Amino acid sequence: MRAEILYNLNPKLIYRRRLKVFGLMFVSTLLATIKWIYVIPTDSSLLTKSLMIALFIMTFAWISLFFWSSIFGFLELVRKRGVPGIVWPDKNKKLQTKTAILMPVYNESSRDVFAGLLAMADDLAETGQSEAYDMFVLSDTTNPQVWVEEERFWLEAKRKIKGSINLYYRRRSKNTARKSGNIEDFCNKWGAGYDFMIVLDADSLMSGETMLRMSQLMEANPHTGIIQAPPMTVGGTSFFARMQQFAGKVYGPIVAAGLAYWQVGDSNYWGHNAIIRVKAFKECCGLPVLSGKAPFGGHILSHDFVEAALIRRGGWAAWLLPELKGSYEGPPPTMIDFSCRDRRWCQGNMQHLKVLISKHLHPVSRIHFIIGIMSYLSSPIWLCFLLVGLMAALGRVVFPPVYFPEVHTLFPTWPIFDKIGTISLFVLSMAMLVLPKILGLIVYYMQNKKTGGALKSTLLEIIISALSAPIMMMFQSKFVLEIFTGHAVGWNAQNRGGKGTSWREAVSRHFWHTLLGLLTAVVTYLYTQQLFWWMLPITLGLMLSIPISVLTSRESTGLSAKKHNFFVIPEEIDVPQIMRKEEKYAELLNRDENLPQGVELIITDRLMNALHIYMLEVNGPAPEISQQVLETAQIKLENYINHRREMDLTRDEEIALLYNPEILEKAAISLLLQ
Amino acid sequence: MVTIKIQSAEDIAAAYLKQAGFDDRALERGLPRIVQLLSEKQKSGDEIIEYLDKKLLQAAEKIFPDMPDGKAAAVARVKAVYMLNDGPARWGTEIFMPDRISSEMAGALRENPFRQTPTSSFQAMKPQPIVPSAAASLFSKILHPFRKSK
Repeated sequence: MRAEILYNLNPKLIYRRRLKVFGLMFVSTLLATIKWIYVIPTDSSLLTKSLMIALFIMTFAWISLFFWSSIFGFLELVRKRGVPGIVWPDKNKKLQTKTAILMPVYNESSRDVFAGLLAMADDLAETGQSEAYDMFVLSDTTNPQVWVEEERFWLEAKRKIKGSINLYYRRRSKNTARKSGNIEDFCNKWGAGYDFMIVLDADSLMSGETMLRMSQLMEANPHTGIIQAPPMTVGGTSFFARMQQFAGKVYGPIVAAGLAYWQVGDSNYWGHNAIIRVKAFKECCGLPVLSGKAPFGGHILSHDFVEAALIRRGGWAAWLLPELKGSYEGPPPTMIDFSCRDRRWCQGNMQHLKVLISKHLHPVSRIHFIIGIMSYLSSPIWLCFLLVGLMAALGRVVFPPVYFPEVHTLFPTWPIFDKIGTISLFVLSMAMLVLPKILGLIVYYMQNKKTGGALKSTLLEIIISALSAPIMMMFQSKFVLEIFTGHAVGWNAQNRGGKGTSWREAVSRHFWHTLLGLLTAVVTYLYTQQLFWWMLPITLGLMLSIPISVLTSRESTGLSAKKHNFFVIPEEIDVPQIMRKEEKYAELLNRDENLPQGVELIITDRLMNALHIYMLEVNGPAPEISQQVLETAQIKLENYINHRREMDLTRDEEIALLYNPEILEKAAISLLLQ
Repeated sequence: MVTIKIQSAEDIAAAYLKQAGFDDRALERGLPRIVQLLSEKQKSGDEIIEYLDKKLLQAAEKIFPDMPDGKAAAVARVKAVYMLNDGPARWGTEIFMPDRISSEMAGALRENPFRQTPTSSFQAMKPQPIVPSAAASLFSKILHPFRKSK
């Protein structure tokens, strides 16, 4: 499709924008590389020089792209310019279409999931257009107790839901292709009944006004396949989570505006808090199973980037619209949880190496894949860069420079080390990393009235992220190595709570980081003191990885920071209505801790018994259950009914019973006969 | 399988009704009618349950003819909808006598059919081809000159 029609824009404007960002990235990388070539000591071997130059180019280009993108994002926000090309309809326009709101869940806190949905339904009801929406909880839950809890909260939520929104629930017995398979299953079965779908994550929260606006935008822009609303992280209580949400609030807007500046209608999709045209999705986004074994083959894990690329390939536009506010998500509570999420994302992004080279993809889609891959590959590249530098410096200690080589000359061959050049490159790199943060802070001051403590919070955030950066580098380097050596990741539920990291766990996770930091510090101090000081910001972060991980994971340190006005975001002072509603519904939903769980609830609560049996059919055929497991489970159940013994069922036994309607019905009746 | 203890037909029917949402008052009124329904054929607990389930299945077919649930799901749906509509207090044991289900009662139950999901119309998404571009294939050939293409 012609760009003018697809984007509603002159294509020259789009090319100019891309030329500016990537041209400046290219020029600055080129100039810095030339400088770097002169900075490398002249007596270094050709191999060392080549390696250092190649690694420098990759590292600097990465920083440079982020820098220039942020600069243009800043300029867009200062000029108060929106994303061009997209048609903004009247806010009061009555919807002619139907939107499904999808909440895929996997062993999540059911109360939080349904409280969020009730809040969103309530907010949509206030817009007066709730009849245009239905909500689906698409469960892939494997924990039987969470499964029953989901059913219980669904029943309760159906009774409490406001507006004319239908709240549906289905659980897949086999979670093929994880989240992407879950969404695909929805599209296959019920997609035909909807024009658009808003895809959420279990911790997503969107205001009714934003969801309505997204549907209106989709109606007004018929060539649009995806609109992504940048989610803002909120609700964190630990120090780590609060620091992240502050960073997201301050730096997020210029990052998002920068991306939107050069991506325009070829934007990416981040997997949640986005609206998708169901027809386009069904036509273009059936994901293939990649050839070969996991981690590179098999089902596509990071499906969002691929879906955006496929929808774009199919001739539909994809927009990232920073103008859309009221889109929220929760941050991981600890550094270890953050790294666990990174492990999954890392594997998903590395899988994109196979997709990146696919035919007919839009060049910008390929750039999205490269950015995703580089966001993890940059860590081992940085690590290699440091190691090569370290080895070169240590090599000089072991093999001192030869001032008078064998060929007789009048003058000695001095190894030239451009100290000023090195310092200037270091300062330049630091400036390119820190300047976007300062620009983000300026925009933050411009856009928000209550900004108390923002400056000191930014300074503290810069210090802590500098200390954390080498820890994350080590984590990500390990992940990349694991993936390239064929180690695939499982599917664990994401920890969204705030229990904190214990010292024992921190020691087990960060032992090698600490040891490496100590070793590097000692070796550089003994043999090359100048390098010791250069490397101190990195070695210090590694040496302190255990206390940093533990202390930032705690709610108490998070609260203490809040008390001293650190990392306070405006949403904590004037809590948005949708968040207040979510809190209200979380309180309203049954909090009785003594309520039976799992099978026990199904056989003691008559309504839950009928409901559970009724829902088994829609959920799909039962998985294969061993006869022996079922028999053992029945014995335990009979003992419970007849002798009131604890059931103490294993996960498989509980699932075997939950899939057997006849047993559940008779068990419930038998209990009443006692 | 969980076995129903050997007890009188009345006790078993009472437990079934309780399980279907009948409180003591509704039970007192409705139990004699249910016991009357049971014939000599239904002696064991399992037979009584099967008989009452069958009655609920017939009721489900009458109330929700357009919902093609399986047997267990249909019986469970009727029970759930009956409970949610306060059926035992409003209509007593009428639900066990499909011939006597009034249009008013069926209409009231149909109004809140308690849908888990909307009616589905299956249309499978086709997996999209992810085929290496010509440039990538050429690059691969340069790197692996002797590899046979599949």
